[in-house]
Amino acid sequence: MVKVNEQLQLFELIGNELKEKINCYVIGGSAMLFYGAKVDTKDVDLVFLKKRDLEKVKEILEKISFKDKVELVKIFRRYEDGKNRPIMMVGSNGERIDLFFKEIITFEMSNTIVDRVKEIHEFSNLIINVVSPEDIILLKCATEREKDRFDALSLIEKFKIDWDVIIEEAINQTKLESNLFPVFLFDFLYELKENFKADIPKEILDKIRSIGENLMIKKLKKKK
Amino acid sequence: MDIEKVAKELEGLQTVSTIAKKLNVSKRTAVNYAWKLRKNGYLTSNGGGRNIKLYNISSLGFKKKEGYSLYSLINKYSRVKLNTRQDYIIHSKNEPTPEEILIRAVSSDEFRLMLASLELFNKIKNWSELRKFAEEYNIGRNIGALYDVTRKFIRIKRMNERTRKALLKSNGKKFLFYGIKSKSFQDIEKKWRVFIPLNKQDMEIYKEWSK
Repeated sequence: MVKVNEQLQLFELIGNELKEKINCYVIGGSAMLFYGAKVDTKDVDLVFLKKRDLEKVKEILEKISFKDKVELVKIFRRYEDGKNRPIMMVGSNGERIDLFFKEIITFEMSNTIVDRVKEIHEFSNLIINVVSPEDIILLKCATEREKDRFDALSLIEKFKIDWDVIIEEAINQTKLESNLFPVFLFDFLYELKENFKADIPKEILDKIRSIGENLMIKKLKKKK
Repeated sequence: MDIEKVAKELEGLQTVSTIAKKLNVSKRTAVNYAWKLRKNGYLTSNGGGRNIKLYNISSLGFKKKEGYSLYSLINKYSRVKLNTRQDYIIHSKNEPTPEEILIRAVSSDEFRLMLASLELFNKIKNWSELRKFAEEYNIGRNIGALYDVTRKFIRIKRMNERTRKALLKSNGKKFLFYGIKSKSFQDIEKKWRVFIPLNKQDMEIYKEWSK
């Protein structure tokens, strides 16, 4: 498990080793560490918008004794569909860093996510952008781990979630890569509400369900 | 009512009146809630006196963050205060100096940040450090031009001749903000060979703000 201070030290180390400024986005549990919404995380997830930047960080990680874990752990739902698989780097103490390029399996880093970034942290040459709590929830929906449901639940409890942002981004994702994203999102949020009693407004769930249903009907009509 | 729930309900900027309205309580009870929120670390405030007191409430609490927030540092040195939409945190061993903060703010592509930072010319102690940072960020001539504009409207320290000459010879960006030119300071623009993204009216307002 990676704790807040360990994560900061790791970023400082990478930032000091880098020769030029590199921008990346932190998502999932590591982003929650920055918000103080969690005490530790199993892995640090970084998303890059430039392939060159990803390669540079990978090089630095190898230099500080991280090893590329070729075998993919089955964490991501629908990960077989993903064209773009993450690079998993494992450190000597078992800490894991996942490096993504532009998309997180079937979820694309859209411009709207970039605009919603709440905090930017500068570690020498490494610039870390922390995505908004709404986007962390949206990204959590791409996984099938139990603990990700708890993380989403904790975010809903701790933050005043702007549900309109979640609906807008779900629709936005259908225009990009994942054209059935609202269907998966409904599934995820419905489970949170039913099984974990999350405070999600009913009208929001109804709205996402109807968007999802319309998409399914359109898709079925296209197949015919 | 659970104080954590109250903090979540009131997240953002509030006044006593808005707290009272949102919680449907009297103003006196709203003040009590504000006191309780502050005691639990969910609230910070500014203003008061002749101005309305503004409460900034965060449901996560105002924990001490690692690193130095660029906005907090600007607010510390400048009389023009900024509210943060997107915080920029610098992780470094030492707190950035006013010289560094000024250069970072001007080169940040954020108009508000640049405008609020102009007051920092008054906090400069080491002009050669300012020049060093300006050259590092490639905005030497822009800084010189902004200094001349600011000096026309507010009292700021005199820049030494050595730094002035060095800045005139240094590099600069033709436009600081996406093709914005000035109609009021063309003489300064000509002298420094850069375009200034401010007009006389902007600076008059700035002068009022910084009083």
